Amino acid sequence: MKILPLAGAAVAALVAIFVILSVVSANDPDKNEVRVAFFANISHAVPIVGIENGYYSDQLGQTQIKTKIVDSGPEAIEALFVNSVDLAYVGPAPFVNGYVKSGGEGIKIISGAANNGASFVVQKDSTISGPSDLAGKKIAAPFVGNTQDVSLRNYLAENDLKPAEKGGNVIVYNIANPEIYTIFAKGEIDAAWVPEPTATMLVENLGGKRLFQEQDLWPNKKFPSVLLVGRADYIEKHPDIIQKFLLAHEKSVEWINQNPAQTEATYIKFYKSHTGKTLPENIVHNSFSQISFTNQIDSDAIDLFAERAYSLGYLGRHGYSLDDIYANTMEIIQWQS
Amino acid sequence: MRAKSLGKKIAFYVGIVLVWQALDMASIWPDSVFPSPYEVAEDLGYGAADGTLWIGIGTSLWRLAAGFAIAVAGGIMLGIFMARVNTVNETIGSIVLGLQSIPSVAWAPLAIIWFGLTDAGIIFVTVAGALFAVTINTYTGVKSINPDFIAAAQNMGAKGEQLITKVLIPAAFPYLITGFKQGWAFGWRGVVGAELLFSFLGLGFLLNVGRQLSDVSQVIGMMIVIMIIGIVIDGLIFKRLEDKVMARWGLR
Repeated sequence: MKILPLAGAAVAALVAIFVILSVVSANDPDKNEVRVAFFANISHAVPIVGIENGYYSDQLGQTQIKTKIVDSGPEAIEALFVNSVDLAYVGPAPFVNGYVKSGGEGIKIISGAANNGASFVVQKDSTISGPSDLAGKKIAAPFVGNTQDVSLRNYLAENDLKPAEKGGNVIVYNIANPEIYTIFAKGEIDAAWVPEPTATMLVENLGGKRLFQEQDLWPNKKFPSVLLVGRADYIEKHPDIIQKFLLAHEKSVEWINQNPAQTEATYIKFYKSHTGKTLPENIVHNSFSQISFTNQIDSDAIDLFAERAYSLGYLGRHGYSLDDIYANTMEIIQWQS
Repeated sequence: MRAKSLGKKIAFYVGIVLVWQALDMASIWPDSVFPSPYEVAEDLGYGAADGTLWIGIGTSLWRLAAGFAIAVAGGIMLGIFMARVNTVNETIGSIVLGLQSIPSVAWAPLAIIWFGLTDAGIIFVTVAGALFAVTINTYTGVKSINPDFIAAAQNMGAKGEQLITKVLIPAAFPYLITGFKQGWAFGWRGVVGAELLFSFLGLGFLLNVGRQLSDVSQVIGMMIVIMIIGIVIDGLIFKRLEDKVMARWGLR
């Protein structure tokens, strides 16, 4: 039986390769930098403006801020998990998902960033006027498990509709916002549940009808759409950096609320440098007016997101707990002083 | 002998699961990155219970079957033309090998633009993946037929359709089988790859859902299902077909 030692050696070699690869891919944690992920969406104006106006670099001093622009919440959470960013601006649904998947240890909420800013848009000649018209229709939402996706699927479930992959008759396409725009233009989908500025672009450029704004379905007519979250180990290790980052974050929120017109201009400039495309002012203006920027956290709404995600089967089947989702910033401030 | 081989196989698979479980228990990586075999099995169990797994398998297999059927029909025709008509070989034939080298997923962006996010688009990718393997093997098969057979058939008056269905295809059949085997494997990769990119139902879509939900168990579970389907189709359909053909054509 020479085969056994040989097989053992092969397995050992494989494991060794695996370990080496995972060590190589891990970043040096002691570097004096903070890496933050956010989207090129207008609801992420807080980091966009904060970086443009130099608030973060002013506060952080020696600590370098590195940015990573991602396309979706799940991607941002993935980046946190694999230690390629330390902080991220993401929606509540991907956060809750990542939190529960990491056994309640991986990531924590540091602050709120934005509320609202998603709409359900149907084609211009559409006969859809309510949930009862959605049977047999094709509807797009960004990535599975993203905030709009959870809202859409929850909306379907509440109205006794099932997506095709569960044997129902509503086809849900989960694709990136720019692609949703393209297939909406081609008429391949009947409706889309999308964040800004895509929702406004569908309305203004393609004649889509905004059937409702997502906040219409929420208690108090508002829901959290962007949160500032971070990796738990990073928060614990660098309370000073988090504190400074948070101060810059708050300053940025304040400035945005005082200077909406300049925020729009800053966003257009950022978008141009990121994608090479110039967004028309009216689109940015109308999108911007859909969103409110705040550092408040609506914990009831986050609980509701979790409940919805759980009932969609996104959080496993063993129950979940949100006991420890908030970074204790009070504690951070005390350490600081 | 068979029992011994089966025993080895079982020992091997049990070994994999044990090593996997041991790695999981060593806690080198968190569960969100490296799940245990139990978690993967559990995840598959849920998928089976709420029907998503079966609908996913059904959708993917349907697309594979449709794409493969088109690829077989088209590939045999193209292969025979290439082998029998010199001009076709010199023109189309020169590009087939090049097309064969394009990974099937690379057709997906084109398919999305041409067909939109539809079954037709995914089937297109499947056909593109499988077609050229069938074509090349058919061509080789027809080329390697003893010319005397063809001449004899023609002397007896066979031509056109009869020559193709009664002489060329049967004589080249062992090669055709090889083409089918390669073609379906390429096609299967095409289906899953396209589903990953299209994100429109099927096993590739479920795999992508797993990734987007940071649900590694579902990702690994789907990979296992894709692999098992590969083993089953190859073992149950193509291996048997090949054995039969080989025996009947006296090649073994």
